Amino acid sequence: MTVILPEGTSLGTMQAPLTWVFSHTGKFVGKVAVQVQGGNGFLLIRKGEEIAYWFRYGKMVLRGSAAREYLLSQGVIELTLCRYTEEEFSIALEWCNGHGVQIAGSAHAMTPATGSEEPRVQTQVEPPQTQPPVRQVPAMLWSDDGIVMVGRCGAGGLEILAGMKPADLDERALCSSFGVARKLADTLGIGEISDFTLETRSGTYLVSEEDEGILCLIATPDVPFGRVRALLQRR
Amino acid sequence: MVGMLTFVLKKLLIGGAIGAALVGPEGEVLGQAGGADWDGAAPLIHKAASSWECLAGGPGTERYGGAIVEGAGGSLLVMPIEDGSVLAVLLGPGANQGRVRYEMKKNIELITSVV
Repeated sequence: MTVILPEGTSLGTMQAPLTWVFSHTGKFVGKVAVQVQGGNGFLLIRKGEEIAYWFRYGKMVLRGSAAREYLLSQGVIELTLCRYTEEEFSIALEWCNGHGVQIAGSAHAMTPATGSEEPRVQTQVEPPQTQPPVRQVPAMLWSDDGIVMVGRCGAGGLEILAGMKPADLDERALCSSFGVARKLADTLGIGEISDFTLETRSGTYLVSEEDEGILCLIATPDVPFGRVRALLQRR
Repeated sequence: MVGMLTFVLKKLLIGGAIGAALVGPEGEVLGQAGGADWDGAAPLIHKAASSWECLAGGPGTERYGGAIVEGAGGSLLVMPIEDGSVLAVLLGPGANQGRVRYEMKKNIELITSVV
């Protein structure tokens, strides 16, 4: 039976150096799909640990450390974080085994650094190096699993403080939502508003005012509403 | 319909809720119970709901599940109804939001059937 690499649940796409992944995936389990220079591939991440790399350009395939080195050399690349369930992660590992992709920590024979789709030379490759996490203070504050993005709406538009902006996010609607809520509060006489919350099928939006603008937090739907509010309040 | 709707909206005046209203798809007040300036707020609620729909994925694509505006002197709970109307409940300070939200969800179908 052919194993298909799971798609996972997309958390959004961004452009950043590969090193961004090392410092922002401390609690992430899944696939980071990459696209650069007309090629594409992925790396598997389990809570900050790099598990496997695979990259293809035309008929050329890079695996393991070769793929990692190539991606690190490319500067900014397109990254799509796709969260996996444990089952999906297991299937992805199975896919890697079936395609000769080195898996960190496994005792399996390793893959060629470069080559065509068919494995040719079996060589031992050192485990991928794990970069020490380099987190900015705001990112650390918000680095909880299930938090998709933290941003600030200011005069210059939306500034991402942590996480990734969902691909389909309506920035204008997000940044104007607090103003609309404030007008409503004025009309109904409930005074100065502290925060505004919107629940959607794709996630929970929590918007609050601070000195430097409007703070916006987006969480996945599975994060309890109370926890989202607690996160915002502890900032 | 208005009498029945008012009856249903009154069911939501629990746990510290002081007013409830159903705002129609054109921003008009279809029904209300309790005390609040719903006539002044209805067009704003309608406008806000349109903005929230954009945030939830675009008009007509995916409706938001609910919205909460927290103020120093109370809060406003809003939930969309299938036909483009919006159910809004105004809560006083210290009200039990969870209980009111539960009642709103529980009575959504009833309100839809009355409308």
